[in-house]
Amino acid sequence: MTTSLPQGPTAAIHLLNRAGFGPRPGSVRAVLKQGIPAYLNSQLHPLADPALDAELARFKALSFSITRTLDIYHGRVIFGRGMPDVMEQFQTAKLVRAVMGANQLQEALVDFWFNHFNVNLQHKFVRESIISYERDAIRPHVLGRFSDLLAATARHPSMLFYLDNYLSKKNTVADGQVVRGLNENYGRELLELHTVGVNAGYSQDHVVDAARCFTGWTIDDLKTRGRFMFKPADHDSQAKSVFGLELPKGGGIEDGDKLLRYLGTHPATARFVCHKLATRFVSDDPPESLVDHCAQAFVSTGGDLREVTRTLFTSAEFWAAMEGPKKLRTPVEYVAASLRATGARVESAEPGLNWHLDRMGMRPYFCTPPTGWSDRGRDWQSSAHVYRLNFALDLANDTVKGVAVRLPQAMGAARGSKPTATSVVTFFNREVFGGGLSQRTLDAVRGVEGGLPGTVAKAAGLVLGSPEMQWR
Amino acid sequence: MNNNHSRRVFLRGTGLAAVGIGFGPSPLLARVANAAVPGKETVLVHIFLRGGADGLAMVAPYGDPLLYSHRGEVALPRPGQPGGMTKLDDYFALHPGLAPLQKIYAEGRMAVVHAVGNYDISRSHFSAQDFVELGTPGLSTTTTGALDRVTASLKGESPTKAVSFSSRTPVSYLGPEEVLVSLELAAFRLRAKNWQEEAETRIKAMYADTPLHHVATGIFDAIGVLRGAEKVSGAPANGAAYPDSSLGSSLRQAALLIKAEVGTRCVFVSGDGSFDTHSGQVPANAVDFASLGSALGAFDQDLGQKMDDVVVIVSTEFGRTVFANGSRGTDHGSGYCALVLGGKVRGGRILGRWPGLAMDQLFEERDLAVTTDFRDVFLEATRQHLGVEAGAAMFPGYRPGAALNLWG
Repeated sequence: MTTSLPQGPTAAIHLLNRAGFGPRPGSVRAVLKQGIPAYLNSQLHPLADPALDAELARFKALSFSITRTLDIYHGRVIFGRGMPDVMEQFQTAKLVRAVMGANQLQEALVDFWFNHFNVNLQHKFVRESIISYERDAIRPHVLGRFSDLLAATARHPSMLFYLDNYLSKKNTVADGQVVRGLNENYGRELLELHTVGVNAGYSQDHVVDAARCFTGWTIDDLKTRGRFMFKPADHDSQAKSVFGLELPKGGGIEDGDKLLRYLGTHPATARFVCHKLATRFVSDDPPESLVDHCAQAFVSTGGDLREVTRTLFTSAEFWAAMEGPKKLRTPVEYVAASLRATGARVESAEPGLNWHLDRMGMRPYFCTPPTGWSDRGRDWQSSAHVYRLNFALDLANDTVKGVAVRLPQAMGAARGSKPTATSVVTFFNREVFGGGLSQRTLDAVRGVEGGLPGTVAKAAGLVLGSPEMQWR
Repeated sequence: MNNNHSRRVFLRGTGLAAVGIGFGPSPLLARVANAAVPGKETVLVHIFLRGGADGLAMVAPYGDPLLYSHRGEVALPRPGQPGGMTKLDDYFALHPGLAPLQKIYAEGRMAVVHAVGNYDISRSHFSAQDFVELGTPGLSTTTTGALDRVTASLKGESPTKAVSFSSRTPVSYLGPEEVLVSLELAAFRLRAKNWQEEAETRIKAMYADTPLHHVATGIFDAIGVLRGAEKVSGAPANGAAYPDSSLGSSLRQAALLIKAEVGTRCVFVSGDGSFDTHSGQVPANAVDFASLGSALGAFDQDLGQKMDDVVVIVSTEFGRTVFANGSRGTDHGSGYCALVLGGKVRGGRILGRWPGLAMDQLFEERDLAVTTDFRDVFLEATRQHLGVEAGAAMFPGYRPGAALNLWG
């Protein structure tokens, strides 16, 4: 199947834009040298990436356990400026991975699945456990089994805290009065957002029973250890009925596990999840045929996400999208693509990148609701676009604090040579757009003057702010 | 619900021809709108409290003992007690954070509509928000938002006619109308030092005839208006002090636009806060309602007489369960309360039919029942205040319920 994939620079750019964060100078040639099928296969089977590892080595916080982060937060262990440094390293690492990582698809999938199982960094205990959440619950499973991913998020203290399940206990009766212990939050979002989707046809009773399955799933201690634990005394062991799954009375922790396995391989989950994947990676309005095709792969493999992802990127619909209407990049995709295009080095997400992303409305890990950010490009289209233009101008000027850009060097300009507006636009057109810049954009950049380095900065700023750069 | 019949709840509903005790005309005598002065540009401001703000905490029926037996410590103490609520009448009280609204209510510039909501019940944030914003409950395939359609039906062509204080275009504005979307107007400019005009010209040329053409045009038109409106950078008037919160900042800027008279007719404010209070509701509400109360108080003070041209509607996507859950919070419910502020609003009243808190009065034995469709609140605002028959466009196919008479 993969042998029939399209060839050529346009196809390589399509794949780099969709199954990653866009081309860096030289990427297109490298993909074409390897061959598109082999490149895609290597992306589906990520290899070690020593260059990235070396770059990430300075972020010690990435290896911290929740317990260690809690120690830092509560002042029991000294680490730099404390939590601000921990969070800065975590946020910076995301952008460094997107910009420098060889396993582009893996990084795009980590971003996608984190967003699917969103937790919000602004919640107190989430902040102390989010590094572990991405590293231990999300990252290992993005090319594994969906039900493993689901189970890992369900048990992770970040999710238990964010959706309040750590507080949820069985309802009891005292003096003839019901003492309410149940918290519906996780049970509802598990069905609505994580698995079968809001239109699957479940009822309020199913929401309540789903929540009852997870009573007693909690966190041992929010200040010291921060680990998952099950408290049998808080578990509601009466019978439950959730969307076709009947659980007899007498169940304990296995009620939750059984429900997760049931939902994790349910055909409704397959459709919901595949529709979302296709929306992110193919089209704002994905063709039903593609969703069907991917959902079949999901069901027939028991939810093997590598096979689902392979099906998506080898589909006729994915490659047809190369010709059709482009997808608008989200702010994170736009910023990462611009950083890649300019060969920029990310020193820190603070303060510049976070400032710009805030204005564009997409500061990483700051999505408040459990729905996560929208995967539809059109939801990001607004007059807040002015902040994209400003990012483009600042980046080309090398005035984004925490980022280093050396455009003439990135362009491979010989020492002492004087790049012109034309040489800048020619460089980007070849390396990033595969010759796809429109005549309007070429004309708009032509004739820009400003001496050195002004000419390069202005011309590159315009190219990075161009309509072509907004799409992928 | 017990024997308290003196509270100022206006009964709505056809059979009863519902009139509140001690108050004016029957809703059956429909009044001609007098809100919009000819030549004046009226403005609609919608503050949307995403997350499901608890109407029973915003305007609490403290006169019903069931509030306390259902909610325990999630219900705040009665007015007059330490940490107690702010009295509106013998039955209802404001959350203490909303105390700045007490004066506005007493002076007749704010009405409360209680037990508002969506009969096409959804306890999903995402569906319920879409239903409000698209204006078509139960139908999520609508391709334009309710505020987009209202904007289209209003006079005026200013690039700042429709504004959203948010970082993304809200679903409310989905559609063809140009909308200025920004959290910070002062930053809404092109950072092209020393080549401003040239950069603008070149960028416009790049975007011409592309799918993003109107986005670029809208940006530069709005920049032009904001640059021209000197007052946009002015300080609040009448000693108004906005809170240091996203909501405070948004309302401060909304007031600037309104005072600058740059053709702004429709404003959406994303009331970001922790309204989805599944746990720890009391401390979360203390922060968020204080921000809402002081921001609205400052807005009213800042605009002064100009509030005659303005209506502010505060609403959310659904209310919360009447019972507290096991985590000192509440789960997703149904009926909520809407606040309607404006110089010409006939305020000082609590409108809508109060459904009661007894078990058999609750929706599905858990939620405050909905007795007023949210669309009726917006319809009166657009018809009577904005002075346009935008209702049909705002809520296609909707047959309005009985009049609330917010303006008469």
